[in-house]
Amino acid sequence: MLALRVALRNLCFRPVLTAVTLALLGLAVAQATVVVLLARAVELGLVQASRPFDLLVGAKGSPTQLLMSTVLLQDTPVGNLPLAYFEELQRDPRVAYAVPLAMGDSVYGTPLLGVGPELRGLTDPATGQPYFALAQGRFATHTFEAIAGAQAARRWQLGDTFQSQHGGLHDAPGSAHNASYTVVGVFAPSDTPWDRALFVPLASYWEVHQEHTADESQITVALLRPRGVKEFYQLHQEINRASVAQAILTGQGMTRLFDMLGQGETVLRLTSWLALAMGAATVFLASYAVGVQRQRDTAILRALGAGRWSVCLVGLAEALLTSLAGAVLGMIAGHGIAWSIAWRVRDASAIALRPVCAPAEVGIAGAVLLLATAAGLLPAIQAYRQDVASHL
Amino acid sequence: MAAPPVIVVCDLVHSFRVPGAATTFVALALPRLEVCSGECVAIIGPSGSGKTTLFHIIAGLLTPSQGEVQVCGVSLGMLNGHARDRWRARTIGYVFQAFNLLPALSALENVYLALDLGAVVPRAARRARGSALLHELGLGARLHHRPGALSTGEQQRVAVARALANATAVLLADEPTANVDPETREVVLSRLLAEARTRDKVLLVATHDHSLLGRFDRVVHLDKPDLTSVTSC
Repeated sequence: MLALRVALRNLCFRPVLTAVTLALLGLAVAQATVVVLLARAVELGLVQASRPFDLLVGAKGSPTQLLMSTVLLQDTPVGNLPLAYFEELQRDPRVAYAVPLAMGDSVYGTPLLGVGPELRGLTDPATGQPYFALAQGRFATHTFEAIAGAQAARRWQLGDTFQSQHGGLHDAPGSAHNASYTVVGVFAPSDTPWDRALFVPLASYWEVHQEHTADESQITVALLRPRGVKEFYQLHQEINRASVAQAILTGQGMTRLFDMLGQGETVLRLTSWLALAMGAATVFLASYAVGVQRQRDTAILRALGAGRWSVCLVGLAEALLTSLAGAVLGMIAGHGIAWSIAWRVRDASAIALRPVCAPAEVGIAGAVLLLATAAGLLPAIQAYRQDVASHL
Repeated sequence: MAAPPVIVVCDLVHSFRVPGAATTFVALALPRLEVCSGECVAIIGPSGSGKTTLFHIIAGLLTPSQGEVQVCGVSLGMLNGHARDRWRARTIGYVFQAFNLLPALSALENVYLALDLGAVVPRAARRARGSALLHELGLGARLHHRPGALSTGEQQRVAVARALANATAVLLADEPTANVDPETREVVLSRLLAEARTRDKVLLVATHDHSLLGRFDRVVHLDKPDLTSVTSC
């Protein structure tokens, strides 16, 4: 108690040094916290975002592009597939459910997805709840009616009209189509990137692209839900063996994506550890910089009757109090920064990142306290061993 | 039957090796010194004669090279480090030459710290005791000021209050009047003498100020060879 009281007073007595140490340590902890929180939140967010999609079937090409453009709406869509091919897949007894999807148009940067009415029936197998449920209005039953995703509805509300443009998601928008869409419904949030899209009937898509007949109609992606695991892998292999299309297992694709992100995350984690070590070095420097004053204070305490362990604890308590305060401040700041980044990502991608407390934070706090204890150890040992009379 | 002396020093020598020199330097040589309860003794001698060294040894802060020191019947050489710390907190009130207040603590906290370490006064009464001492020494308005915000004289009075806090049997004051104004000098010295005489404490004061010597019961000259200063208690 005495050690804590004296340590606290000593820290308050050197406000600038203490504040700078706290700021540096806090920033290091904040950085580590942000990395840990966001890494976990991105992983959970991407898993959440990919939930509705079991097997994606698109034109031959890059599987990553197919995944990114379909699930995350973040890349140029792959080429098209004939509608007949989709219908063939839909009739396959191994397919429980299939949703056709046309992509490639946009409305001022907002993706415009042409979807079949099957989208309504796409449900979460665990709960039976539809992934895309209406929050307002009704489903589009006629051509040139549109439903806004939950985030797109911030801009396009019921009754609003818009014209689509060819392309425009990741390149300069092409020419505007003549047809005008009217928003008749708004989806409830699905916590997927599709929340920032506008949904129109496939027929509208074909009409603006003048693909009226079924023979000429094309889709971009088929979302398949096989009946079982065996069918899942059978379909995946069969489709990839044939020359028409490629199929990707969304979960597997996401794992590859995590692996790619993981390399960057590893670098960030290493940087965070380095920052934490530097923060601890700052605590050590702060303890050591006041060496002469500390020697005198130690001698005075000993002369008044404080034992060797008590003065040793004062040095340790200063380091621990600083690191504890730095860890708390850093974690608060880290959570704030992580949430701020999460909101920006959500605004930009509609991926719901929730940087809630991660178990790894305990590790950060433990590491900070351990490093700070190590940093405070040398001044503490010096205080323990110090000769009293020569410093009075 | 006469009471035993509170302080007994026998054949005390303290020497240390000077870096680079072949011989050791004798900082203090004191064949015998006895001080009784209620006695106020002035310790005089030129700078370097060992006044501070003697105080450090009596306070158990320094282990002498030779000789024995007993304070309140306790032979300091028999105490281990921890026991000596506890003993010092309860037995010695020390006014240092340089005051030695902790700069991060307020005047009251400096006194309170000594009370905490001594643990002689009940916990509940410590704050009141510290406050009362500082008021008594004219620092009622400066309780919460840190030493850096106090004048030299005020710091000296805080140091005196701290030394008096635990009502210890022995009071050591190392040149308490050297750097202070006449008013503070009078306040400090009167308070220390009164404490010793009215409460049967031992007061040892190291001083260069010969005008004060008449106020002490005895004067010990550390610069005199073969010094023996014994009194009958």
